[in-house]
Amino acid sequence: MYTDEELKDLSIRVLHKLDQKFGFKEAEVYIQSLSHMMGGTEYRTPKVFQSINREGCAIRFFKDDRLYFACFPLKSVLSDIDKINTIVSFPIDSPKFEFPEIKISQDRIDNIYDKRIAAMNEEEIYSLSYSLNDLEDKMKDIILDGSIRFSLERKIIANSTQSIAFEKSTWNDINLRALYRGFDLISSSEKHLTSRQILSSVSSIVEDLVQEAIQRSTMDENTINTDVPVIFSPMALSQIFSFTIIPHLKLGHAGKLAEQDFSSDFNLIDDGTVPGLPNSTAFDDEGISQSRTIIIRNGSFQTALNNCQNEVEPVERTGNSFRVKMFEAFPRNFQAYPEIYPSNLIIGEGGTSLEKMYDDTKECILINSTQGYMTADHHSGTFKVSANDAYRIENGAISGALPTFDVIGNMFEVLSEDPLFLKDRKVVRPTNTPYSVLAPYLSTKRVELFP
Amino acid sequence: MLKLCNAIRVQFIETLDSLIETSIKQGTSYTDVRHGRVVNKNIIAQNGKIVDERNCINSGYGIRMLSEGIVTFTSTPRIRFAEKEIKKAISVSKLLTNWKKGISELADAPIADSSAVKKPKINWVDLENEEFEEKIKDLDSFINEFLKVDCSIETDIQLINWSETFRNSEGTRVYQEYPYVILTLTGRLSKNGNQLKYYKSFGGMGGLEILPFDKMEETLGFIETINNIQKAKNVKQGLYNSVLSEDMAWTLNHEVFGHSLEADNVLSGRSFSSGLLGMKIAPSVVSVIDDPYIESLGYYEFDSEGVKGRGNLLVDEGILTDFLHSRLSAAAMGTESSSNYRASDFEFLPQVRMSNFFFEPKDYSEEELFEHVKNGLYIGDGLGGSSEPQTGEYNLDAQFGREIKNGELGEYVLQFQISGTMMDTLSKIELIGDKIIAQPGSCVKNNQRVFVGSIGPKITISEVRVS
Repeated sequence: MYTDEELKDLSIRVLHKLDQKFGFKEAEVYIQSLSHMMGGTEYRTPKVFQSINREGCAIRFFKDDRLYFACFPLKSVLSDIDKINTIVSFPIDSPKFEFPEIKISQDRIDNIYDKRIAAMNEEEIYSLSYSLNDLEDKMKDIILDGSIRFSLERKIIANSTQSIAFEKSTWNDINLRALYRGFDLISSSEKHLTSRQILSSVSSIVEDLVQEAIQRSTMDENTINTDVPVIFSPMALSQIFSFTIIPHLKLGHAGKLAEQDFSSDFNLIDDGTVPGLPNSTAFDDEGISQSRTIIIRNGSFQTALNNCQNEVEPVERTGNSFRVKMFEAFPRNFQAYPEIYPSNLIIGEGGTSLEKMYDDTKECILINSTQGYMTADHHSGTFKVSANDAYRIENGAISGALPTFDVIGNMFEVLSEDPLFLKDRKVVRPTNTPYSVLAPYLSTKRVELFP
Repeated sequence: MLKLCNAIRVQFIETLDSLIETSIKQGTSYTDVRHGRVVNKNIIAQNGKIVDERNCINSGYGIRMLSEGIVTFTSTPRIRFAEKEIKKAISVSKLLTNWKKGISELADAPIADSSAVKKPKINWVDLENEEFEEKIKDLDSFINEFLKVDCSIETDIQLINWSETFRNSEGTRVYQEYPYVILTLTGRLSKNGNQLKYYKSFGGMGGLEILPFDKMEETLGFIETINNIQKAKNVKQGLYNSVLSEDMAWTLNHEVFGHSLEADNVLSGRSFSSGLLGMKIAPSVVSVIDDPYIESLGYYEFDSEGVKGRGNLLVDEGILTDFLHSRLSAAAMGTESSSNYRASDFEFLPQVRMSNFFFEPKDYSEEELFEHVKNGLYIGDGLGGSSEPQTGEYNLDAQFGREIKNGELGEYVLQFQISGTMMDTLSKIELIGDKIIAQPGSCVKNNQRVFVGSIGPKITISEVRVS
């Protein structure tokens, strides 16, 4: 792969060529260099070892005040852009904007680059994959599938303000599934974790997962009492939240949030600066420093997330422009046009702990995970999902697993009508989303259940 | 100029062969190399005016190796980097071999030396900007001529030229080049302050000639639905005897049943069809086929490990007869590859995937299907959803529906969800229509999207759970 200095040099040469050869005085060059190494096990066999490398360059430029976009393999970008006038045909309908002068508030955010990942070699990947297998061997009747992926991403943004931003960051993704075959029942449990550093204890993650799978398979399935309160786990809440509320967080699309009479207990922040949260980064994909943006405070809408292109009037930049290809394991991709996405969403917690909630409630239902959330209607906020991992809670403890049932509701209503946010929170990344959510457990009576 | 091109081509092929040689010399028993190039243009118009365009060119190498039963894969944009990555992958396979020996092998496959090139009649690359603008404007004018409601129309056009050179250490050499075009119309309108949306896609493998620019009447069904969804009502929850549209029948078949027949899912315990081979799983009216030779988005002549494409009868009159295979899964299950090992491009390791997966059409006309259901629900185009492959449980959304009263289509119904368990649903299939239609489809598996054909006839299913 190219060295850091070669990448920076290339970005300047591309920018220079766009200016000198074509007279594009206002241009932006984005370079992504990405390396993944992945290993693991699948159904008791070593999963294939994969190393995937990507080097690409995306350019945006104004020609006669009209905006164009194209991307190329890095190896050939200097020759490919010779034909730029025949590659691009139509401009993007966009107000004229200025590429920003890049001012990095900090050289780097702590904890986004782990030297151990950057220097990770194939022997270490092997040894981690092996450790999964080793754990499985110690646990009777458990089949453990999983993969560990280490990624090193380098991104560079250079634009015609003569500024350049460079960031190196690392990622550690673990996807695990435990399949338990006990008591003639099969039950499974999954975990998907993302961190910017090597996750400290794979074995404790595995043990938690295995306990969940065993617990579920040993429980009798109960009938569903549709009249009791429902507690959404952080994952279940984030799944539905992602496809009902998050589309409204962008500048120009937030009108619906401003109209809502949310509960004063509802607080929502986007923060790309918190060390340790998965999507913290020094700057976004236009070179704007990441920030902490209060979106909802005490139920009232405050600020929408923005990027350079979508600023219709001068507003404080929130640094939320990301190049995201949905449905990819590592969704950041130079081929995607920069759009507004959250970085790390933080939903405010309440004062009551989950344990106390269990103790104080005679009966309730805990929904750990749902299916079907991707087709929720963000315009109206309505959702119909299937709860496929849910439990009956009675007198302070889990008394049984529940068969799959439907949950129908409206997220605007759930967040407005007496939502009870609990103290316990977890960081999750719902499948197919590029951001993380630090979400609490949420208790509500405002959904309908259909067995 | 021609001589220069040929010389470059020869040099390129030699480079690929040298990568294979490098790998084999280091002790791998099998190596294949794919070099791919994808050129992609995406144009979006709002109400006939082009508002967005994105261009992307990507190319690089994907190398798969097998060493003492261990598969390794590496992808890289540059040849110089490939040799280093091969060494890295081989060193891992040696380590892995110490852990588990001889896990993987490839089923035998004939050596192929072939090229498959499909040229578009009208290549988008040759079209002048003004001609393009005119085609989009004309289509928008046609739609507006028949629209009876206030609705904004988005036209999203994806134009793709895909090519790949494949070579393996057994001597197979395949070059494939296919053009794809997809046009998606989305209508947005409001009802009681909320937005309603309906979309439909056209196109497949070919050039601009297969888009509805010169056959605009193909969009009349889209317009009719848009004209009626504003006054559509909400569905009442319950069990309905139903006619499923071609698109919804395909979505159900592909998403819930098809993935359970992919042998990698079967082998990894992610399939409710595991253990059902040779058993009667559906009424005799049901036969299911996967065939890459239908000229749609699922078309290919060779899969991503150079195996010649073939049609596969997977369910024969209700009996599950086969799974979809790669050479790897075929070896594990003692059979042969069904030519279903596919990757979206060089960057990804292929997986077992469907091509054009569909219910075999039977003899029932559309009128007979509706007459059979008599009173029930017509389930319109699919919107997506999710399924649990281990159990076959699913939730799928329909973009719209229509009541069926006395065997006739009635009032429109707003977006709703169907749910159930596939084995139960399969047992309730009653009739299958006599006509199939092909539309563009795509499929995501383990974070990798490939094109597939959304193909199939209308079908009837009794007691569909609707909410």
